[in-house]
Amino acid sequence: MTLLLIGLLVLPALAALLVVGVRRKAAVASRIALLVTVLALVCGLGLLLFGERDVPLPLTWLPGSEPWSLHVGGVGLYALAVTNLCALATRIRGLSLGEIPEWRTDALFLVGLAASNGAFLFAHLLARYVALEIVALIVAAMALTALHPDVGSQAASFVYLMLRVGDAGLLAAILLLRDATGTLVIGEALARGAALDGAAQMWIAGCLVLAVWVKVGAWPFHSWLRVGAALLTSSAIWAYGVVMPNLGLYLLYRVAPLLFASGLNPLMLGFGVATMVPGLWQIIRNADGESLVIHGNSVLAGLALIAVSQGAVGVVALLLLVVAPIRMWLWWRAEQQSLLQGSLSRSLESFGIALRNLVEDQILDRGPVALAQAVIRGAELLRKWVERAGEDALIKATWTSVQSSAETLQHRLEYGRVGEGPLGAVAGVVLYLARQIQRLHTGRLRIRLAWVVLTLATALVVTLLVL
Amino acid sequence: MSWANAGLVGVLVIPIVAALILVLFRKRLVAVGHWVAGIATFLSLALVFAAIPALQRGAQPAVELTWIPAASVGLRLYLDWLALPFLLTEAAVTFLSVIYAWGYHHRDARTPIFYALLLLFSAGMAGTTLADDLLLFYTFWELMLLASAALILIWGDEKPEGPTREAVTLKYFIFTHVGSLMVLVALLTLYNAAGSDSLTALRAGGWSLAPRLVGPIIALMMVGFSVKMAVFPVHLWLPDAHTVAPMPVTIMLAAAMLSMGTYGILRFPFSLFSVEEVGRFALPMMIVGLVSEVYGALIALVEKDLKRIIAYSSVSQMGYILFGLGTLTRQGITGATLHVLYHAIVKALLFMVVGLITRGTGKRDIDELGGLGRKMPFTTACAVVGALAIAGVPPFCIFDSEWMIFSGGFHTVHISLSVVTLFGSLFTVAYIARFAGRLFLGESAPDLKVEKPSLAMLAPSALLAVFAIVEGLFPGPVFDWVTKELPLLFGGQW
Repeated sequence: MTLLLIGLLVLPALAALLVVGVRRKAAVASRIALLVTVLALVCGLGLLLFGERDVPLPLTWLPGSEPWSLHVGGVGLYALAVTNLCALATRIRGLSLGEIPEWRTDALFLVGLAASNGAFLFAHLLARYVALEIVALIVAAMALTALHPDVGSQAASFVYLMLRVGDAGLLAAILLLRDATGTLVIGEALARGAALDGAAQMWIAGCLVLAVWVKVGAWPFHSWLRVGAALLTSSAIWAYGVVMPNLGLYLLYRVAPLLFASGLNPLMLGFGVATMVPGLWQIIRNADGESLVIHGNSVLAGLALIAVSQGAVGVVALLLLVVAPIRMWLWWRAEQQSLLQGSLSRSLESFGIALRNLVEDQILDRGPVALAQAVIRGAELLRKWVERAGEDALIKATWTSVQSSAETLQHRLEYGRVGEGPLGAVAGVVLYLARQIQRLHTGRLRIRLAWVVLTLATALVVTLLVL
Repeated sequence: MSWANAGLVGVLVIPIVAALILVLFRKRLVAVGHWVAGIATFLSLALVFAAIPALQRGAQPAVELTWIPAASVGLRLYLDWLALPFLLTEAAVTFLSVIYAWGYHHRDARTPIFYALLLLFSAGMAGTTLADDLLLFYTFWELMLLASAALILIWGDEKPEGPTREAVTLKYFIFTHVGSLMVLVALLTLYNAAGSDSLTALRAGGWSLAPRLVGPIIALMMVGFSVKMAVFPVHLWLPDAHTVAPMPVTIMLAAAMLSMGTYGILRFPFSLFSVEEVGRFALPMMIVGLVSEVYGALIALVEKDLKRIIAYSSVSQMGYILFGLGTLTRQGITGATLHVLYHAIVKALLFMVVGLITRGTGKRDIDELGGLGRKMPFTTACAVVGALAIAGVPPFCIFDSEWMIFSGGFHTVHISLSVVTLFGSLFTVAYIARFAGRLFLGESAPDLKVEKPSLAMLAPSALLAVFAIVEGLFPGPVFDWVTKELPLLFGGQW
């Protein structure tokens, strides 16, 4: 079993390093990637023979967190096998189309394979989070290798930021769960978490649903899938169309008991329906492959959440295992502009175009961009107000008052008007001493105020020394 | 005097003596002044490491000199687990900054003075962390300000359309000094209440403050130290000071000096008062931390000057630290202290990267740069490590400290605030993605020429990048050191 686990988790990562080493020979790198993908699939299928079990790992990362472990078997292993099968199909399809990916794409593909396998197998919340973060980075980085550099960097940043929204939700849920249950072992944490009540459980449920939504690419977090649709290389199809959505659905499958016990079932039902509707609408209206792959995930996620709200966790497993290859096939065919023919689609299309310009382009696509621009503009205005106004007021006021005080004092010293009473007498003595010292000085400094300060400082030092 | 105690004195005295030598023999040391500074800072750093075994044996190195017995004023140095992370940060950052300056700073007749002031700046920070009496603490606290202000005033790199060095220095001085005066009032009140300026005596108890004074004194300390931390809204000195200061000074300001504010909060209100007394400031600290985190990140997102982007990043990162402190939990405070260390590593790395870029291309505006990935591969690698680290990506170091900070937040009753703070970290991802993407990816301008940077600038950058990875992967030892400070806080009564 150890060898099989190494084949799944370590071998692809090592192969990625090898690909970097042979980067000048793209064909060799491509063959290495294909071979490792085959081996990983074989290892995954081999693990099915061992039955369900926990495998402890001799690794404790952050102090205070438990040792990491793997859970081999169950739906997770089947999901891993399906994902690896899709990976192999992707490589074969690429070969059949004559694709020779760039070495960077192959290296990313292999690291993504290792990380996604880990994400399916890890039985430790922190370990799974790390694996999911690495997958998110890989998915974003695919845009760098496949697009023009100028566009690729913006696309990659956008994709990663979107996926980090989901990971932020997941991290919040993990920390809340750990705080409430005292453990990071997934099985125990979820079991104890299902028995929680109150605000903590609602927060956990809400953050987990957010994480799932972003990873699956369901409305309104579907925009990152558009980048994948623009890439359309075999490796990108696998990363965008299979890996990340599969990980999202598997996350939903694992946390389903906790969500079902949270008492938010009506909300989940409503949210599931609310997500399906825009997705279905887009698919029917546009009737093209691209809309199907992008918005199909919304329908998928909505169905899955509805199933969870009704306690039908098996439906989620079915959607995860059975639908994944179909999704991949649809991504392959995404270059087709229209799947549906006929007057119905044409009528809907013309009506939909007008609606799309309003909803999709203005709100769903430009909305987030406009919101981001508004936030940035607001930040600029805020900075100008806080910094310039505050700074000017403080600096000018302070400097003006200091300057005018110094000028007044200097004027008084020059004309000997140091005041009356005991304080005036002391000031007179200091002024007399300062004049004497200034007279002895043969330098250029003529400002009496400076000599008064020097005199006072000298007196203070002498006093301290005497004391 | 034991070796450990002598080491304490050495940590302070060596930089000061080296600074004096550089000033007195400045005309003869123009060509070798950087070596003097490098050796002095290396020795200081070595002495700090040498003190760790003593601490691990349970000893607490201390040195005491009686000065004004009638007023119970003495000169005391003391090292404990609370001071160690900050002292180590200061010593390491100073050493790497001096090495970086070998390649960055153009040598001229004033070079010995430059390095002398750097050493005095370092001595100010070291003295602040080692001081075990109020007078020494405040003296070194002001020495930090004076030395750094002089460096900005004399060697500041002003832009034609920006503020002058004099204006920036004045603003820096006024802001920081106002904060220092608040701290001074609080320290004098403590001295008056305890009848001694010894921090050891203050920690031992046996003194009391009038109940009506406790809140105002803690507030004065919090605000005064927050100015040094440069959290919103008392951060206004930082962007200009960091931008105009020469790069080695900027690195020391951002990576080391900002941490002195955190040290002050831990050493004074968190060590001398109870959880209940400090507790009323917990929620305001968390809120200010959140606001600082988001504000700094938002402004970093819109800035165009590379130094200002990273400077505002410091405002944001200090927000995380203040939030962690405000949770008043073991996890939060451990995370905040760890964040000080890790932020120092990553911030120094990012500023060094900016220095490599500005020195290599002669440009500082992000819109004029791009496609540097191919032209500066080594710098790009360092920048990618720094960017991933500051974005909180595991397994880099800052993820570890953020994990603890957010964990601390979720241990409080302010769960919604903690969730918002966690999501606020997405702004960090946004600005650093913009920073890295615009600089290193895309097409570069055809006329953009890149000069090869010096080894003195590349080596410390590489070292910091390695630290960011190694510390992230193997955080155990540093975690262990930092958690040992917890019994020293709140009298050990949590």
